Amino acid sequence: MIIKSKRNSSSLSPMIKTFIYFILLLNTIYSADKKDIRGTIRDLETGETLVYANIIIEGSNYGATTNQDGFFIIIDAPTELCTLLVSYMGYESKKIPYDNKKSNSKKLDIQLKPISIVTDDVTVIAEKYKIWKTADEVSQITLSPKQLMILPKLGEVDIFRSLQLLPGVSGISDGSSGLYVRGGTPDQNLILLDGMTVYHVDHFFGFFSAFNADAVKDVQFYKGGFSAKYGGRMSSVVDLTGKSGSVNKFKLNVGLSSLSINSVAEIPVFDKGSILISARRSYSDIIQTDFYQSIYGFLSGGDESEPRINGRGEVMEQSMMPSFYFYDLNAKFSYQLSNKDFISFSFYNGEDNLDESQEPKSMSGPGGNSSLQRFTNDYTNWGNLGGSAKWSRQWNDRLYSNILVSATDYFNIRNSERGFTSTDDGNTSGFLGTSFKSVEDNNVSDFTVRLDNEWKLSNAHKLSFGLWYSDVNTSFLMTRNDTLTILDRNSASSQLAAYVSDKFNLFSPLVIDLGGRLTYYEATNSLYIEPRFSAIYSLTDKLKFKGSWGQYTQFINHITNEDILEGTRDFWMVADDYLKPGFATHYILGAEFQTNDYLFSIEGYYKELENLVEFNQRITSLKGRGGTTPQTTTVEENFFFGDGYSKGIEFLIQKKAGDFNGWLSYTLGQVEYTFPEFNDGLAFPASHDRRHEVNFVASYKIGNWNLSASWVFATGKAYTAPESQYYLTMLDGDEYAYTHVSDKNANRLPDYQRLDLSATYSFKVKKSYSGDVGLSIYNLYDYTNVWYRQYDLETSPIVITDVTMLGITPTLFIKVYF
Amino acid sequence: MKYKIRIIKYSIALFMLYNIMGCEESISTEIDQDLVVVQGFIYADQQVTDISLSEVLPLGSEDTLAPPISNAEIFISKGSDKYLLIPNEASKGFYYYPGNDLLISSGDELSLEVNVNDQKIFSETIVPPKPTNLELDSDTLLVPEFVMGRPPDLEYYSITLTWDNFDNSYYYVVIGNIEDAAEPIEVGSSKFSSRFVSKPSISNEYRVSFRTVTHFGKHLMILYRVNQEYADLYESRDQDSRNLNEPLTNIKNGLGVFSAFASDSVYFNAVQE
Repeated sequence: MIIKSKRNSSSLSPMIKTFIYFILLLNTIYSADKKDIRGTIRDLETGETLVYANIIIEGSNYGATTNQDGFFIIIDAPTELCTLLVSYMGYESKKIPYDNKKSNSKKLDIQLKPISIVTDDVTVIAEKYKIWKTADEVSQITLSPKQLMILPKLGEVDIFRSLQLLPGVSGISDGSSGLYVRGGTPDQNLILLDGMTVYHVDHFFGFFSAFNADAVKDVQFYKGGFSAKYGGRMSSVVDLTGKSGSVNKFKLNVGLSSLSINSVAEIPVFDKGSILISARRSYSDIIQTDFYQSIYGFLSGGDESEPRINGRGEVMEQSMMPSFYFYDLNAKFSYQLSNKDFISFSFYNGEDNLDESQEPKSMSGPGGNSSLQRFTNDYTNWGNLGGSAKWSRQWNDRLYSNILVSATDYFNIRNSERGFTSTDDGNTSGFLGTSFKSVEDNNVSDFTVRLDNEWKLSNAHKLSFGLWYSDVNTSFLMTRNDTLTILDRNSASSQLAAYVSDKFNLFSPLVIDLGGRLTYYEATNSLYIEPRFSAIYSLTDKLKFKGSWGQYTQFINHITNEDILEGTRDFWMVADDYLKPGFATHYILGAEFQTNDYLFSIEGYYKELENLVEFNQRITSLKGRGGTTPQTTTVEENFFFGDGYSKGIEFLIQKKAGDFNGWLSYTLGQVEYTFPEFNDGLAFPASHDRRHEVNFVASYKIGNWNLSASWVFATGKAYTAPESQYYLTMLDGDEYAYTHVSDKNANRLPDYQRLDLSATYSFKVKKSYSGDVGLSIYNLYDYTNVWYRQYDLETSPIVITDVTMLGITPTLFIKVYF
Repeated sequence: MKYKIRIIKYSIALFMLYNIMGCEESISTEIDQDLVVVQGFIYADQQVTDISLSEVLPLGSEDTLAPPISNAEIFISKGSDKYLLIPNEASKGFYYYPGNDLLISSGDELSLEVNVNDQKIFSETIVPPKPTNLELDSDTLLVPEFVMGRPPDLEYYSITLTWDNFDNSYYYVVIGNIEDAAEPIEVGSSKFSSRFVSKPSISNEYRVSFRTVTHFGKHLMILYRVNQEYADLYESRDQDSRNLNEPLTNIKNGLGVFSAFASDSVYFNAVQE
């Protein structure tokens, strides 16, 4: 595959050269009566720069998008009187008359006013798109975290759960904020927050994403076919830009939901910079609301599950409510050193803590003068700690660079201990009896240095290039009773990647992005070449055709345990010669038609997947039991390798303008895997394969009220079911029951559907403060969705129980802005 | 009014889509009633008597005994020789070889062929070598008096069986009390009275503690050298309902196991301290 990639790449390089020469030549000929228009776009109230905002010269093809520092340049704009149209989601669009002939090339400072839900008498021109919009690149979506407040939510405004409502993106259950993008799995998504790779992307066993929407300014989401700038993952990219904060005045907001409290403070620094501190913490360890209890009940086995009974038939470990909380903290310092230099330091810490310890239980000893106490200590904490420093410089109007250094540390530790203590006349005399101690510790540390450059050769030609170095270490340790090591694996590898991406207009309606990424990966001592290509052809102003093709390599795998309460058994492992890097090839083709109010889009995709990894948890759990098996096992024995494909077609109708807006999307998809060891080597549906998926989202604004609804329908999850039983008598005379199962994932759970509603009221009290208050109802018509089907194999006949997902769940929220 | 019409339009579209989706049928699970379960155990230096066939039980069945299959034609092949097994009339579903010319020895490569209901089922195995250098460090196992809160020293109240295992093979230990009227061990509670269940392991020793036995008296301890296909049966026992797998089997076109064993044995006495 690598050799194949090399051939493809090398055959394209002469073509790139030809294009570059051609465009440079055109640029020289036609630049005589033209002049650049440049400047920055900011938030009027806070002075914060707006990233990826659009500016166009009305009635022409000239336009630009701001970079990560809010800077834009329209190269070789006509030297005539024109109107600049500036727009950004969540802000009022602005029309600015501008005479490019008389202008003195001074940098423009354009300020946009945020749209307030509170009605004004003044009619404003709002950016047409409300919550998300298709962006300039194929399969790229820009999401406005600011607008997510109006969508139905489950306790928290959640960026990832909102992304699940987009065509081609699905969640696997109510309990997961993970993104399954076009048949990919969550670990195949590259999640970047201010440039740093985030490995811990959710809270509460996956129920909420780990990103506080109040601390995020912009989300760029690439569903596939992403450019050479991004690498290391084979499915999608979620690039989050953290808020930098207000440079004009101190701002504070405080929010409260049924699960957590959060606050964001924005502190200006000498009018040229700002500090933003955002903190969110659940109070579930102090007050356990009905909402928390319903979520915990769901995560610990659903409404239908029975209390756990331990192996000796005792009921000492039956249902209990553990102490649990999560928090996240974002801090960012941004400062404009000069007109050309901008620095920022970003810090992120998110952590979940679960204490499942139980109060000691007394057991009387013989003689009555001593007693035993059975204790259980069980602590789990997992999270992410990371920071990044970025220096960006606008060398001149056309060349922009930024260098970023980031370090992240993901940790996941579980310590559990059971045993007995003896008390004699009230004095504890120490441990007695059989005690059990278990430690599971997974750690990922990632140190990355990135250099990204953008060189605008002309209005129709942009060259991006850069370097990406990263050093990743993973470790996973599982021990029992301090003496028995079940798994102990440390892996480390570094990679150095160089990329180039050349975006240019071949001729007026055709925009091509041609690039490639070359990665040296230390663990396999190999070079990986990933060519990328995308094209957008605008047949008319309203009708566009688009397509892309690219190859993607992934150097790390996340091994997931489906029993989510055993969270610590999830672990990351870097690829090596044995655990080969994953590889995908994307093919995407689509078209979109836009009117003033509507967007109609159709996009088809096909992904070839190689070196897929499956981890057989069942065998792992057996290896860890008892003393008769070898005390050390190699983790490699539990991995199975295969290939697969994912294909689908997405249909979308979006009403983007007006008080009533929203979208309706339908995705027809298929994901199939082939593993030699499974299903007799025949292809089988992946467990996250969803043949049909419909998302309907509508929002309606009436006065200070914003009403919204979302309805989701999806084909049931694929699963393997038992079909029959048989018995074998072992050498010791015991008879064991075995279950003959269906072909892998040959069955489907019932279809999934859910309707959510939300009502938000925005208020303003004079000029001192404003706020939002609202009610969200999850699963309004209380539809019984099946999470998984449980089979009690110990009974005869087998008892089949449907473990269900969340029923109707109302939540309240309030947010106040000072 | 305009919005109302639009809402109605959306609702109709949604309803139609829902109905289209609702027509899809989930993939039905068809139970293969013709599946044959084979349990074929061959022991070195013994007659072939322990071969049985049965059907599978449907999931909803309340039966605990699978229907035996007594109309099959079963052959055991050793080298170029083929031996026809006959049904055991006294035990439905079991088959045996009536002659004395089928001698089972370590190293024999055996194959099983079953013809039943127009199906051909096949399997093969190799008879493993007998365990060597079997040695028990004591022929007496002391059983302590149980005192709550003072657990006895397991090391002291144990005996250990050792053997050679240079090639990392699987071994399996079976312990049985051979007294006619064995006296049960009283521990004051039922906590330690259940029999300890072992499973095949790659080891060269086995420790028998007082917790392993349930009765006083003479015990027979058999050490089997077992093949991978037998060890796989223990790997297949536990099933997670969210990650079900077909139990491992070496039967082609059927279920179950065909395996061979070689064994040696020792004796010990369990006595009260």
